[in-house]
Order: sequence, then C-alpha cells, then structure tokens
Amino acid sequence: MTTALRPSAALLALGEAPAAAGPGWQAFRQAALARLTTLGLPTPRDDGFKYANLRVLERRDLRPAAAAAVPAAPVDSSSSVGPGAHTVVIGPAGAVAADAAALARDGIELVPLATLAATGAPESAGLVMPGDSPDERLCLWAAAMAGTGVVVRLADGARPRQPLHLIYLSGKGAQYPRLSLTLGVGARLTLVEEHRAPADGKATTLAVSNLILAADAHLSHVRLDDAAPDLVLLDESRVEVGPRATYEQHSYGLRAGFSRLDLRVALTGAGAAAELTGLLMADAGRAAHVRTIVHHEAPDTRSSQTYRAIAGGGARASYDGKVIVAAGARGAASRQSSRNLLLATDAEIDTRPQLEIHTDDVTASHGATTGTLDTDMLFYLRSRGIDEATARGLLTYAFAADVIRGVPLVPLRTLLGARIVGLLPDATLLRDFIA
Amino acid sequence: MTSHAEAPSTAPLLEIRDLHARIKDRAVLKGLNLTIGRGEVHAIMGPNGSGKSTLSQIIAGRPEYEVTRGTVRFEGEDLLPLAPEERARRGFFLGFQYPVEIPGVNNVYLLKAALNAKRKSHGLAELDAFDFLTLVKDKMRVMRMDESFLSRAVNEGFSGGEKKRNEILQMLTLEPTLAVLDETDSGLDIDALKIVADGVNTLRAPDRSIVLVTHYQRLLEHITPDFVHVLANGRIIKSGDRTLALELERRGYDWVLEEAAA
Repeated sequence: MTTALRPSAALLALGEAPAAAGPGWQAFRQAALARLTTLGLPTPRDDGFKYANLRVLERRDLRPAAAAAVPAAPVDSSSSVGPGAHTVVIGPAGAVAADAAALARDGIELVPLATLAATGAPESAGLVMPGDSPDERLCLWAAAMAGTGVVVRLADGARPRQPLHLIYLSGKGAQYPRLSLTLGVGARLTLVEEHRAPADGKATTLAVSNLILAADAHLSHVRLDDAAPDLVLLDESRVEVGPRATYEQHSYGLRAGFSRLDLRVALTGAGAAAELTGLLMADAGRAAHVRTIVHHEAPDTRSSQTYRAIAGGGARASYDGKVIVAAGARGAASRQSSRNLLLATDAEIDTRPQLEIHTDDVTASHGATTGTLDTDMLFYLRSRGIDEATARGLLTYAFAADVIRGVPLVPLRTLLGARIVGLLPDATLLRDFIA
Repeated sequence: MTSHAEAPSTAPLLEIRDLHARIKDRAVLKGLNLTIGRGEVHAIMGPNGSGKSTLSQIIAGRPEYEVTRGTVRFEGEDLLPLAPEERARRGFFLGFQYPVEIPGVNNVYLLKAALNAKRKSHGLAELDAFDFLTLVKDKMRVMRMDESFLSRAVNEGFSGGEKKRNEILQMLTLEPTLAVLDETDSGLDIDALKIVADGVNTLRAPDRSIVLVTHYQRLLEHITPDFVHVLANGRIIKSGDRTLALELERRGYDWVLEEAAA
C-alpha cells in the first residue's frame, strides 16, 4: 500500500521562517503549512503523479537554502540569451536585477517578492491559498514556503525590446522561487527562465509561476535547466490567456536528475491561443516528466502541444497531457503530438494524451508514438560511410532538434543544439557533423 | 596510411559465388553467381520480386539479411564480414530505390561527413568547408540541382525525381569504385532520366564499375551496358550483351524463365 509522504520534521521546523516576512505573510504561510502537514504530499495514486513519484524527495533537505550557501559565481546571461537581455538572478539571497534602471526603461516593472513579503499582504504578490486536491498539493507546499521570487508587470502596450532572463540559482537545501507575471493589453515579452544548480550537492527546487496575459498580449516563454544530476526540479505553472492573446512555451528538461513540469493553461478569452513544445532528455537513471492541462474555455481558442522525449539507460520520461474543451468553446482547435525515443532496453517512456470534449464544434487531433531509431534511416547513413555510433547519435540529435526550431532567440537555439549534442555519446564527432 | 592491403590487380572488382541469403525465414537469394570486372557497366534486369533489390541491399550490408552460403569478394577481399560503413569507405556505393527522408540531418553535412569518412579511411586529409562546397556545387551543376538543396534535410520533401538526382549527386561526390544503382530510373520523367543518365555517364571510367538494377530497358538507351543479366527466383538465369535487354523489352521475361526451367 502506498502511504502519503509526509514532509519531514526538518521541513516542519520551518514554521517560523523566514524572518523578513510581515505578519500577514506569516499567517498565510502557517495556514498553508498546517494543511500540508495534514494532507501530505501526493502519491502515485493521485492524478498527475502516476509517473513522477515524489519518493525522490525522501532523505532530502527541504529547508530553504541559507543565503550564505549560495555560491558567489559570476552570472553571465549573454552566453545563453544573447547580449542585452535583462538579467535577474533569483537565489536564496533574494532576487537581484543586473540593471534595474534598464528594466524600467524598457517597460518592465519588477518587484522582488521579499519586498512585498515585508510590507504587503500575500494578495499583493498574487498569492492565493491553493485548494485541497492532490493536484494542488505542490502549490500548497510552495505557498507554505513563499518568500523569494519576483512580481513582474508589463503595462498595456508595453513591448520591451530585450528579453527578460530569469536565472534561478540553487544552493544546498531547497529553493521555493515564485514568478508572478502580468502582461497588459497588447503587451509582448520574451521570457527565458533558466535553472542552474551546482554540480555537487543535492538541491531541490519547487518553482511556481502564475502568468496572466490580457487581451492581445503575447508571451514567448522558454524554460530550461542547466542543472546537476542531483537536482530535483518541480515546476508548477499556471497560465491564463485572454482574448486573442497568444502564449508560447518552449520547455527543455535536459539535465536535472528528476524534473516534473505541471503546466496548466486556461484559454479564457475568445481567440486565445497556446503553443506548447517541450523536449525531455533523460539518461543514466534520470527522470523527466511533463504534465499539461489545457483548458479551452472560450470560442475559437487554439492549442497545440508538441512534446518529444528521449530516454537512455535506466531513465524514465513521461508526457501526461490533457485537453479539455468546455461546452462554450465553439470552434476550438487542439492538436497534441507526443513522440518518444527509447535508446535502451531498460528505459521507460509513458505517454498519455487525453481529450475531454464538451462541445460538437471542435477540431481535435492527438497522436503518440514510442519507438527506437528507424532502421531504414540508420542503414542509409551507414551506407554512406557513417559509422553506426555516429549514425545513432545523429538520428537522436535530429529527433531532438526537431523541437528547437521554434525557439525564439537564435543564440538560445544554438546553445540548445550544442547542449543536446553534448548529451549524446560521440559528441565530438557529432559537433563536426552539425556545425 | 591505408587501412587495408592492396588487392591483387588480377582479381575481378566484384565476385559473387553461390550466394544464398534469407530474411527472417524466407530465402531470397538461391545460389547467385556474378562477376563484375573493372570499368564494366552491367545491367541486372528481372521481373518484380525476383530479388534484384535484395541483391543490392546485401552487397551494401543491410543487417536484416542473413547470408547462409556463398561468398562475395570485392577487390579480392571478403566483403561479408564488413559493416555497411566500411564497405562504403572502401569504394562501394548503393543508389537506393527509395531514398529515405531524414528530417533534421542536413543533406550537405551528410555528404561532407560521408566524403571525409571515406578520405580518412584512405589516409587522405579531410576537405575543409570551402573546398568541399566548391566540389559539391560543381557536382550539383551536373545534376542541375539548385543551391537550396544545400540547406535542406536529407531527402525531406524532395520529389521522387529530386531524390534520385540526390542519390546521383552523392555518387558523383563520393566517386565510388563500384556503384549499384537500384531502380534509379523508376519514377523519373524523361528529362530527369536524361539528367540522371548524364550524371552516371560522367562517372564512367576504366577503374570504375557500375551496376544498373532496372526493370525497364529505357535507362539502357542512355547508359549503354556491357553486360545484361536476368535475375529470377534468386539467381542469375541468363546473361548476354546489350541486345538481351532489347530482346527482353520486345518479348518480356517469360521465355527466359521457360528456357531456364527447361
């Protein structure tokens, strides 16, 4: 029998922290913690946790990492996002913008969560108490720990010229960063969220994002991890897309030891659209999981999901994607594609695209395939003198590279391509080939 | 440094003796004999399902086929233990009947890697990007392919004719010692057939042999073979000169099959 995993005593000892929060925040957090203690963490029996087993959290130090533990490593965003991006580093020590004045000039209003926690009510940072369902349990946990992160607002019509690059740094222990982002009417932003972890030490990150797009807004959102094998990365994202607004997410789970993205997108306004793509690469016993719920709540809403997973020896990956089309969402269109590649006999990939439709007037398609490398392609490459290992690596790369074509920033696309190659055997050979 | 010993010059380029092969439990070659000398052009014809494509794939080293008896010697050396990539590097080329589309792998990167793999195994320096591009653009002109082919993925979205021209482009770039072109003429209109044939003809040389596997005579109007063979039921049942192809065109295959059965 599976029993609910209880947060450890160490975590509970946290009830008092963090010092800087005002009384309203302290009460909010205490209430969340009390409910979390009663309810426990979800088990594989709970919807959304069938594949991503949270037992991985056992024997981990889940106390918020001390500020002192943060490595004073220089942070350089230009390598991944290109020169000129607005960089904000979010770590246990708080959120620090590289150039706050430049942010403001470009129309991005950014407030560290710690500032709000010290002076305002939780609502001022968009915090609401999550419900009791297991589905919301990680959000409840994050609410109990709320204190670091940023609140970002773009006014109506704001169109920053440069992308916003949020770098989440992990120390030892756990991080609970939050992002609350609101785009005003017609605002446009490119957002890159990057998780970095030290190569040594067990780090745990539970990140929560609440993204709200008003009418005609556009958000191009890239998430990636450049993380150590010992990182556990849990990400709860909630997105609300208003009339004619478009949300694009490109998600790359490439290096964490265990990652789980739970992405819920509500298309609340007529003509709203979401385009979700993701690549999961796991090997050497790592695990990468994606769960999505896209809710078409308004007429003429569109969504597409393209997920690719590659699993090597002893690795696990999963795509658990659901599209719900409400009765009022006439003319909705949705597409789900999940293609998966198994590179070893002991690898496992689970894929479960689901559709729940409450109206007749809808166009929906979904497809899922899981297989090994195509033998015709393999033979074709070998017949041209390419050795078998390189041919396999090349086809694996090609499979993965398929989803990076849509990445909005060229330097980032290049970086991702190089990172994917770096994860493959015979990386040196492949680099010659592709560059 | 070369990775293999020089073959005796007296050996035929390719010598197949009593070749038996199967895929899963089905016998596909049943005692096939064929000898190809240097500089020769051979045509292998035969009815559908006779084993023509199978023979091409087995010479290329397709792992799904199992050779159960017989020998294949290339420049005097046993070909069968060699991996497909090793056969390619030694100078064998297969033009595929159905060239496979490989999304995400650039057509020209593949060609460059293929050429450099071959050069490396022959102890030659790899070509740099500039020299390679100069070479490949030259060959593309022969095949009348425009430069957009440089940036496309391998065969992705190519028409049937473009795929076949791409095969010949690869052959021209790799300059094999022995090329087997499997139904390269199928699906080509008359203009494309002419371009493909011209491409093949530019490669004819005293030290290079070409095997045309084809169902029809029409390719042979543009590339004149020195020998014509009929393959049926997993064996070569008749060989002759180019007049045999004309006779097959006129009379069909039945008379050869009957003759062989008699």
